[in-house]
Amino acid sequence: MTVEPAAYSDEVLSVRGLGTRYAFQGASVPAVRDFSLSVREGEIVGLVGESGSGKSTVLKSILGMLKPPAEVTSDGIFLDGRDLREVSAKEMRRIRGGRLAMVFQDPINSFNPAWTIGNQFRRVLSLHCPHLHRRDYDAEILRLLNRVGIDGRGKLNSYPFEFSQGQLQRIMIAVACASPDLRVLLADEPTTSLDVTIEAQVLELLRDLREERGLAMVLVTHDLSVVAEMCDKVVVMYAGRVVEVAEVHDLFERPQHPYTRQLLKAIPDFPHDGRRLYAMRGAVPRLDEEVPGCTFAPRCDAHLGDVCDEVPPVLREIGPDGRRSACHKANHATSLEETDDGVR
Amino acid sequence: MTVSGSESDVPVLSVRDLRTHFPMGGGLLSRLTGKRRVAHALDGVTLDIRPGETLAVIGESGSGKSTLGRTVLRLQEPTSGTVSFRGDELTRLRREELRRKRRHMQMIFQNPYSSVNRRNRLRDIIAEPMHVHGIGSAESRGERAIELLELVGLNSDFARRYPHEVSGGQLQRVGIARALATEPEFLVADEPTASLDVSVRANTMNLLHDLKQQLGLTLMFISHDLAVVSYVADRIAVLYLGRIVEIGTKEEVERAPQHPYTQALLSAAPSPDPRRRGKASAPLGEAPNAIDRPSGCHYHPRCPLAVPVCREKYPVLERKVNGQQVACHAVPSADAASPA
Repeated sequence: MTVEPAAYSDEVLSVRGLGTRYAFQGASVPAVRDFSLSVREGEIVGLVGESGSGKSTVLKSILGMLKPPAEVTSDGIFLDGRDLREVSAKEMRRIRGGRLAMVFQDPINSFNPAWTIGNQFRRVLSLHCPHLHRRDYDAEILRLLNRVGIDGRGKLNSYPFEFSQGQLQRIMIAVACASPDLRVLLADEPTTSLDVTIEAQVLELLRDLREERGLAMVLVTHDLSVVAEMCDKVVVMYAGRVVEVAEVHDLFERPQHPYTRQLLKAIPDFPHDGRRLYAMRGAVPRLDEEVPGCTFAPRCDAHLGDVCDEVPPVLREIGPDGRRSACHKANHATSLEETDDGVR
Repeated sequence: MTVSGSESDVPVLSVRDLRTHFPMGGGLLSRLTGKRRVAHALDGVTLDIRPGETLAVIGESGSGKSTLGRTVLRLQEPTSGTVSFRGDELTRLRREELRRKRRHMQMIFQNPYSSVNRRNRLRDIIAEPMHVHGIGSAESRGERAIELLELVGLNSDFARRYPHEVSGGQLQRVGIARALATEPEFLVADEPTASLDVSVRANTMNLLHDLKQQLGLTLMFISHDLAVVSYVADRIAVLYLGRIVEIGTKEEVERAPQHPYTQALLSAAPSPDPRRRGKASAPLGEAPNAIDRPSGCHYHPRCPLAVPVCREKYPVLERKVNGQQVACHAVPSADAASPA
């Protein structure tokens, strides 16, 4: 088994050179290309982009949830220094829900509708808490539910449909956090299907869990407000590729990639003064569409000319703290005026 | 209510004490015990929408906002109350009369994929309402469909495509073109941008805004997204468990919300600015459901201002000091001397 020296001593999850391909109409098409990520203990990293950017595919690839004909290749997916590529299927089942767990977008479809909440919970405990005695299961379930703000007394024999969306999402978080070994929580649009009032509660809960247990999180979202509210570091994806990596304040105050800038510009002000909304033209290219040059060039407001249409830009270091951007403009003299002093 | 001769004062849509109740759990036991539970999806909604006006209806899921949209078009039969369109009481019309009226009132749905027939070409999807209402010949309908495609910013190449060949944003434009096919005067848009990405959402919102100006449309815009509402609305109605808790102009409701629930909705939304992190405040508790509604003011279990009377008596929706109408015991009403 390979044990890689971590880039930071407290790095818990590291993904290097991940590529994922799907089978689409008889052809193999790339959904994620050359994706890398590093997450430190207690850190919340946001993965943002429009639908079709590949952000959910990244999470599924990390968890080993994709089966052929999907193909996942990488130079390594390290959890606490252990390469998950070399872990047996049996052990991977223990890691999923053990050290590495996921919260999904749609709580109602993530539970088995025919099983009571109590039974689904007990099964998770039997898999991931081997030292816990069966007779203590229910007490542990009540404790875990209580932590997410749900009084589970008398409700363990209830079925998923008997709970509201917001309650189910919190129950799913409780299930995901059931293992005492949990290190990294992957969350795929955890509040997208929730009302704004319940969203605020769930985000607060995730933040508190991070504090209490030092959890690292990868938070996939299309909502930049959620990123601003939650994340320490942000990875912006477009059409399967990483286009920008930045610390959260840098991203909002000094976005470098035109895609990031345009995404930020597209957020309507509130309250709105009635000015016309900024609209990004075009759409994310389809998976089977080969775009020569920069994939964002057809929609880019900062298009430089032929270089953008012909040469794919490389994701390169543009500042301290792992700041990166994949844009020809980053090499261009004019961009230096716009960059902050802190950015070399 | 004031009576005025001027056409612009006559509401396009008038809703009076509208109630839509759904019986729940038709199981044998509940029938035997005679305890049929009822979801009060709409419970006494009164509102007017004037010509050219956009009324936004906001609220959490379960607030009844979609039921309101469906009931005003009589896609859902109300339990009681009336809906009048241009003075004609829709709730009394027979099926055939109602069908003729529907030409003037159309709906834009939330999910463009589930609201079109995927086996039809976009041209036929757009032409279908004209076919249903017997407008024009097959040929003229086809031409009109292409005009409508262009009106929503899609070129005529799209006419022969199928839904799966276009993006979600483009298909939502087709949904809008279809809603406009019969030249309606009133549209209900139910979360028309909720399934779209931010980048595409702005396009759809701008399109709706332009069409509204260009065609003089009157709109009921249902949404949970305050930022979107802020762009399109002239007035805002806030719904909580089937009742309007606050209604007023966009400025009144946004800048000085009076009902504690409206205030909670406004402050719960996260801000796209990491410097304001942690400022969003979550209201207490879970949204209750329309079957087991709390007594008195339905919001009292979550309300920071609740006093004993809130548990006993539902507050009247009345004009308050700031100008808008609010249903809350804790907010002082407008000067008693002013006419009701």
